[in-house]
Amino acid sequence: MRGRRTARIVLLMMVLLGALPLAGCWDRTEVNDLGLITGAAIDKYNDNLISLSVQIFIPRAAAGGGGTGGMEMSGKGGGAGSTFVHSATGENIADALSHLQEKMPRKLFWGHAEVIIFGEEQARSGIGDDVDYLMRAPQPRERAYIYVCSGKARKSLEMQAVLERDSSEALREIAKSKASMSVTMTELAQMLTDQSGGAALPWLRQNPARSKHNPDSTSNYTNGTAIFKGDRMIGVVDEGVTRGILWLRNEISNAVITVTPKGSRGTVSAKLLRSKTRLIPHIKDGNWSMTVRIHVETAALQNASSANLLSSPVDVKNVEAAMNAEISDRVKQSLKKVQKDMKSDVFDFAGEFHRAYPKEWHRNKARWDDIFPRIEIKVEPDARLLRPGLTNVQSTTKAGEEQ
Amino acid sequence: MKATADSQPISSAMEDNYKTLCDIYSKCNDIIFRELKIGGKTESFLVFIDGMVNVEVLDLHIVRCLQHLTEPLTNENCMEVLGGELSISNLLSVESIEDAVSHIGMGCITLFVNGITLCFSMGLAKWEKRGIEEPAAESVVRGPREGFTETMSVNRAMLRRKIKTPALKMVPYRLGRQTHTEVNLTYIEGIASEALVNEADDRISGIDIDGILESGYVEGLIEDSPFSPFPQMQVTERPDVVSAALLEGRVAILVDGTPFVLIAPATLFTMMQSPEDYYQRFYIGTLIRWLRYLFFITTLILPSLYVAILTFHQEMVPTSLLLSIAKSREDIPFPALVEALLMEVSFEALREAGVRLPKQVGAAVSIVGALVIGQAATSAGLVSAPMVMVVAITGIASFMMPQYSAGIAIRMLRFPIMFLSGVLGLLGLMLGIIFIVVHLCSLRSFGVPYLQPIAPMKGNEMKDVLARSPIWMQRRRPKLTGRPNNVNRQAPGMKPEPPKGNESS
Amino acid sequence: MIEKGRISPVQLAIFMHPTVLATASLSVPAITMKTAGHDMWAAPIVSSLIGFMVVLVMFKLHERYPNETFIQYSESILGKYLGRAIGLSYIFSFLFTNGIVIREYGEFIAATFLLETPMVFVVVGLMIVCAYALHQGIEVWARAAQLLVPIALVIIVFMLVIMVPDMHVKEMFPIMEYGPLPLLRASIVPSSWFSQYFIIAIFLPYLSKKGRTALNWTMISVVASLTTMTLINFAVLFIFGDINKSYNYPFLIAVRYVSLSDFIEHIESLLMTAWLVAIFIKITVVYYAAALGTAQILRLTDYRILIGPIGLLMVLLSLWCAPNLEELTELLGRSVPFFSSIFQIWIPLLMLGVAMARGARTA
Repeated sequence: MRGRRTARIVLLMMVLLGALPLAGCWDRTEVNDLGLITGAAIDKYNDNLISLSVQIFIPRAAAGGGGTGGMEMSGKGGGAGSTFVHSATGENIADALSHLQEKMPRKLFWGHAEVIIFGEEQARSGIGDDVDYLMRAPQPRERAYIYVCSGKARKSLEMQAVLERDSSEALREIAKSKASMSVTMTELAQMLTDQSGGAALPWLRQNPARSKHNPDSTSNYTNGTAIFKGDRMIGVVDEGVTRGILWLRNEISNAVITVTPKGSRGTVSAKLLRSKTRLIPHIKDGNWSMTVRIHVETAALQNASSANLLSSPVDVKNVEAAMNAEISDRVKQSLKKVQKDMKSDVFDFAGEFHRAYPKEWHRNKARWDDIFPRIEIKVEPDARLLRPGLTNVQSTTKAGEEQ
Repeated sequence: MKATADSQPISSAMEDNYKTLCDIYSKCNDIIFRELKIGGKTESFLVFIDGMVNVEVLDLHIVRCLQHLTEPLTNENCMEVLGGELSISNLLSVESIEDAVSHIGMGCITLFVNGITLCFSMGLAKWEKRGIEEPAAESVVRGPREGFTETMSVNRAMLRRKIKTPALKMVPYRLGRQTHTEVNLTYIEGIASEALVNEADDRISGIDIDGILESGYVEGLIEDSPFSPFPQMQVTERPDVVSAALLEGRVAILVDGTPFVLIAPATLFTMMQSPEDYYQRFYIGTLIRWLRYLFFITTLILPSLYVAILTFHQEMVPTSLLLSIAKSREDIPFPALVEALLMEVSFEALREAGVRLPKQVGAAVSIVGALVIGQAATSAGLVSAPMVMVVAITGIASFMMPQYSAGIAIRMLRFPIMFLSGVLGLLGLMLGIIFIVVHLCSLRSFGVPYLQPIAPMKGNEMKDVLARSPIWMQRRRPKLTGRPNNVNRQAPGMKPEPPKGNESS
Repeated sequence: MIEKGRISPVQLAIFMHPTVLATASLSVPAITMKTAGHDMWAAPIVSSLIGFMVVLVMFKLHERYPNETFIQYSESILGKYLGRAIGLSYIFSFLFTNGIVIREYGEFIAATFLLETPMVFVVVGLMIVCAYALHQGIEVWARAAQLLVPIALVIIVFMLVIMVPDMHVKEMFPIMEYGPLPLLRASIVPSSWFSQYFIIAIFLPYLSKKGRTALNWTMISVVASLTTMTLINFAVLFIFGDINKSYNYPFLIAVRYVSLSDFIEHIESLLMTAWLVAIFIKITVVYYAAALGTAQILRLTDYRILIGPIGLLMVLLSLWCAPNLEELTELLGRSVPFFSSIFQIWIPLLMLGVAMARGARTA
């Protein structure tokens, strides 16, 4: 009796199992039918339309023919031909994408788009709507890195990469190394929605090709930061100011500080080991001020000066003081540019005040744009030189000469 | 049938007996009737099966002795006289024809004497048998290298050599209407719970079938859930495994004619243990055990996982990996699901062919299959290289199961799961796994839940599943069906320690 | 007795954990964030008080009727007709709860994983597995829960651990910016999840060990649910801060966001597998309660013949209960807390009161 019932259930299972494939496989997509988007660029086309360019991976070109193994290099200049860029226009990304899809034999797949680049014009006219699509649709990655570039963003996608698979992979690796500004999509969305009203994105500017011998154009651009107010870009700052912004946002890593210590001629370079920036807000009698404490630990890399880092505490103090001055300088420079000139709170000072003084914050929330440029900022860097390096050849000989 | 045969006693007239036996054994070329005169006058005859008795002893010690026997035999003194004269240890008297026939079948020599209503059965069975060899399917690096043989008496002796206590009981059964196969239920009295022994006894006595050719017949007739793909009894050909099971309070079922012994109750985890786990140091035992669990799951889901991720969740694959898979898949004409099924089915075929063929040819088949076909299929663009790898890893993983029969279950189950994941992606895969888990939870082996001690949780026994705890920590026997008589299997404080005292010596 | 199986208090504690958390882990962070803001992490702590209270009430009732389920003793307490009516209304509430849960599951899968597959297939696939589990009996699926839940928990904890580098503790300040009121308001919603501990009333008679051990384990289960929910809230708050409330399933997005040395990325499908285990157990628990309760009201000897019809009814209810996700969220945010507080808090309290009054009178 029990056995028969079980047999019936097994039979039912088998029938159902057999029927499932008949019903079709709705979401099944073979990899062969996918157009893998490795990077995307969004440009302004005209007042109403945007132009969406996508970098698509070409598996056949990279396969090297016949599938006998991917070991052999194709003769097309080192994988340069493994992607191609295609564009379409539309009212927004979703619309442009559907136009793009119409012309494409394969289903476009966003799941591996690691880099999204906005053209300058598009950034200046607002990126909020685009971010909405990128966050709402299930496919695009939350960890995609966002860039803004000068001119047409499509050009950046078409850059040639030698070391990496394609330009977007190169950009992603650079962003991941955190040497300069790097912002993921989620971070951007956070910056756009928080109270500060400011946002910062890494800025790319392609330089003209340097020589014919170096075809790698991905390493040939200037870094910087695009400053946003709301979702519109209002300006660009250069690499030095970017450093200051990174100090203030507590995002700096992989930096080398080069200073000239007091009383010596040459320079000392030190590698950043770790750094911690604390923003301490104060409100006193209606005066809003902010203390920026930067604690930095470094290790000496190169010593071209006469300072003896191994045995002279005075020299070490001098170097540290010079580093403090350098950091303070950098930070003040970027504060002047961003806080005073552009008046955009990319450092999330708003959040700090909110957390420390919730009542005052709510009273003055509406006036934040007025308050922000007037905040007094005190920079208190505290740099330490922890390790003098392995040898001290240079400084001993120099010291000998001076005596 | 049995009742009528029982009622036929041995006639005092030898001619009658002779005729009856001749009728029974008509057209049996292998039965030998040897007539002789005891002491030169009393009519008698011997019946035995050619090739199943020790003819040398028969010639030297029985026929000659009988011929020179002087004392007359009567119903009363016959046992004494024969016992005194014949130099045979195993001498029995039998009262009915039916019993005599069954003794002949076992390889005994039966002696019928005119005027005596008894027949004498002399246990001189001897036939050509395989020597004790290392078990092929369960070899170990460290541990005894002997395996059971096809002969029940040898197997019993091997067990008795390991467990010498008289508490080791072997209850005989004769199963099979035609084969009269001897089956022994073995357990250690006082360790195995009575409830378990009674249950096993009930189930074995209930068997009524034409023939038992292998222990698989018995297994199929006494297991709890006959429709389950999972084996509910452990099968082994190693005496040390059986002894260990007996010492844990399990029962073993020995079947004549096969080296494979059944052990019950079994759980999924006993199926995944190798005896060597206990012979090596416990660290490596634990690690190997976890490796086995890992690859158990791998066998079950790896091909399905590959299909599900590649056709439904491409975003899960790291970008560079997906791009290289895309490259190698570019020219493949099949969907991933078909590709996987194709490869898995041909892999199963290869394995089956390798098992059935003679050893030398089998190796050739596997080389041709694995290397040549794999390589050729990849370069011909029929199968992608990653898929070949997936199938190969799955294949290796399935060989890691120490229990061949448990491996079969998961090898079969991976096909429906592959279908499910081809239709619903990871969701289908997960539904399949939940289904299997529920099924495993519903299984019982002689009353013991199949996933004990994980579900239901038994804290004390878990240390022998999640790890292989050191011998001195395994103080208690696992709790099986019924109430165990005594749970401790070693004295407390067995942990070895360096001798206390003077360290300077 | 219809059910001959026995479960251990540990098993009860283990399967109650996903019963409460399965749906809560997805939607509660977003719902509480809307009202409580930064303080949403504390909402489960406040609302767990309801959970402790419900457990105590159900144990008090259980002490009076140790061998009967809620459906059975409601008749003894409130009389034949009223008791039966109450029992029947509970059956409907179980049916409806499961309808909503199944729908939530279907919506979640349809919105994030299988965009084009008809929801019916996704739903029916799971219901077949649940029906199979139910058919095997309470012991079997309690054991399955015992095996699956720890695995699912390990996956969740693993995800929480690899989220740590992306967390920013500063997001939780300032604490209690607008005073305690928003927090209290926000904790109403999770409290309707905690009040689901009511359903132990169906399982208490089938425990192998009763009394203090059972109570202790159930309390541990409440604490475990509370801890898990708080941890999840902390994780999404620390990762996303304010933007949290704009996600429908913040924890899912958080899991998509994590990255472990570039290799483990976009592992939301892994979350889906863990979550599927939880939802399977939740549906099975409620399904079982509905089937057993119906069998007890109808005085049947076996609940197994009801598995088919009740399952079908649940699938249909899941398709009918709301036309789209918005209305479903609306339903979850407004009417469900109201009804669940009536069914899971007030009526049991009332019954306890009546039972105590009667007990006092007879004594």
